[in-house]
Amino acid sequence: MDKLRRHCERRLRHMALPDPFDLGELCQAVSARRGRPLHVRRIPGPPARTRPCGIWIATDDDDWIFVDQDTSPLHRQHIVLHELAHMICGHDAAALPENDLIGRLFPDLSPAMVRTVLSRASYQSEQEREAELLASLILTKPQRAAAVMPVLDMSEAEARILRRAGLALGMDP
Amino acid sequence: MTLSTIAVTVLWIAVLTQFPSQRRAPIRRAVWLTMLLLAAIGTLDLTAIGARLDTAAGLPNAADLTQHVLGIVAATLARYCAVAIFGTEQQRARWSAARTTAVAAFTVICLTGLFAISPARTQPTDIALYADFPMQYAAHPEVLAYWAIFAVYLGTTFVIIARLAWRYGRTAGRSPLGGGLRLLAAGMVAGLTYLGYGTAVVAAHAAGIQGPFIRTAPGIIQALFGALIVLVAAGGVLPATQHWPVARQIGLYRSLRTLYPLWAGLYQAVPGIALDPVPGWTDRIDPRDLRMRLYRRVIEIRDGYLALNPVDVPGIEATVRAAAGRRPLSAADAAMVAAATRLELARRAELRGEARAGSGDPRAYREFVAGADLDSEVRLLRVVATNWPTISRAAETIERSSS
Repeated sequence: MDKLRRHCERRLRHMALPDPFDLGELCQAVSARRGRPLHVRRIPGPPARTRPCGIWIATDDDDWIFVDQDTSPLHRQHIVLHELAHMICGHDAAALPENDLIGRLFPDLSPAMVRTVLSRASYQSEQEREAELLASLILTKPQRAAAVMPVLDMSEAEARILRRAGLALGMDP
Repeated sequence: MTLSTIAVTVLWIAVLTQFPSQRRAPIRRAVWLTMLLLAAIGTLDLTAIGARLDTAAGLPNAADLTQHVLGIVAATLARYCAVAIFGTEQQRARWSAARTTAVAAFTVICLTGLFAISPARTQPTDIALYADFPMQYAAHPEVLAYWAIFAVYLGTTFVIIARLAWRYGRTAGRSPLGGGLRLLAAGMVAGLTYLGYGTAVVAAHAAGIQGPFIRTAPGIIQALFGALIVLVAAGGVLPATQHWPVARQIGLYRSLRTLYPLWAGLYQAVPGIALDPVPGWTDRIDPRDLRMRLYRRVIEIRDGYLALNPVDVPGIEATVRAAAGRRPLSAADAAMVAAATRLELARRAELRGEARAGSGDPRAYREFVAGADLDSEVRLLRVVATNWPTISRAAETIERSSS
């Protein structure tokens, strides 16, 4: 794991990440680099124990990231980053081992259109561990770690006011 | 060292520790300048310093007058801060620097003019008996008017800030920012008490009333002013402490340890959640890489919850409230603890190999959503961890009743 971590940190040093971090901007940058539209959508259907919480499907023309919505915004952000990390690392699942899963979740999607499928379900493969570690490192970099607003049960206007109060009282923006 | 000296020292420490970050934004500069003025007022309130200023100026009560003028300036800055932080777009657009400055300047001119025509300009105050010159010369109408103007200007500011800081302190919840805002609100209440008590003393002097109420007044007024200063200093510094390296590391370590049992329970049921599992003793003694480890802990707990298959349990809220016993839960915490109990039941079923196939009860997840940042996630999961005995008791009760 230490070797993989050093490898991911080296990769991270050469990445131009939005600062302050913005997931939408990173999605646009990855999309531009790959020269293909990138879409982020929710995984259809109710939560189920056999369902992965994130999936990346690459068709001939587009990239699609599907995320489980039944979790927190931070977790959702991490799941999207995990799938983006696969793209950044150039991972490829040409053998499409998860075709069965895709058939169940997206019955209308023709298998002939799909080039790559990767789902975030376990860390058994080196590719999964690398994507997971890179996603974690991106979100724990000190300069991206200061979005410290507690947003339990509050409106956007209240959150804005508390951001200003935090800034006024010495917290980082 | 007297109480006042300790209070002023605390405030100066707060002002100096905030200095490195005060240049970044106008609002931060304004808050810092307000605290600096408060520290200067507190310093002038110290007997030795105040007496030296009076002697240097050749004017009895110059220190008191300076304190009051600085108080008006600090209150004006504090009002600007309140509008800039808590005001709506329209309120911030309507706020006029020229009008506010004009009102403050007029108030200062009135105070200075009334002081100039009062006996306090030529006669010193007996500091053994009186905290401030308005208390000694309250029988003179110009001094009474002086105190009334001063108390109304400051009192209005204290009420505005106390109301806003308390409201948003509650909204921010159990966080350093929430705690800081609530301390500021408490400081404003101490300030209002100081003004109210001071006004009562001035009125009593004006009416010629004597007695224990008057004799103990200087000490009480000093204590209230000290409380105002200490609470404002603590409230002004608390939110920033989470960026102090040592405080931050201690906070991260405590959160990491608090969440360990929650993570370990889920890891036992769903081993696949761990990217790099560590035994409990390593987790306890290793002080390195705390932020990354805490982030992973939160993500893995969330992964564990998503991998479970919670089911709906009718009446679970009542069971949770009964399990909480003498520690009543707030409405928000009760919903969260009920959701965590659903998930705990699913975890136990998973451990017994009895996990149900199919879809889970979405409420177990939706009641359980925190903010978009690590701090609010940690805060939410710490509520679950600290209510673990309740969750465990509720889960056992439900399991017993269904078996």
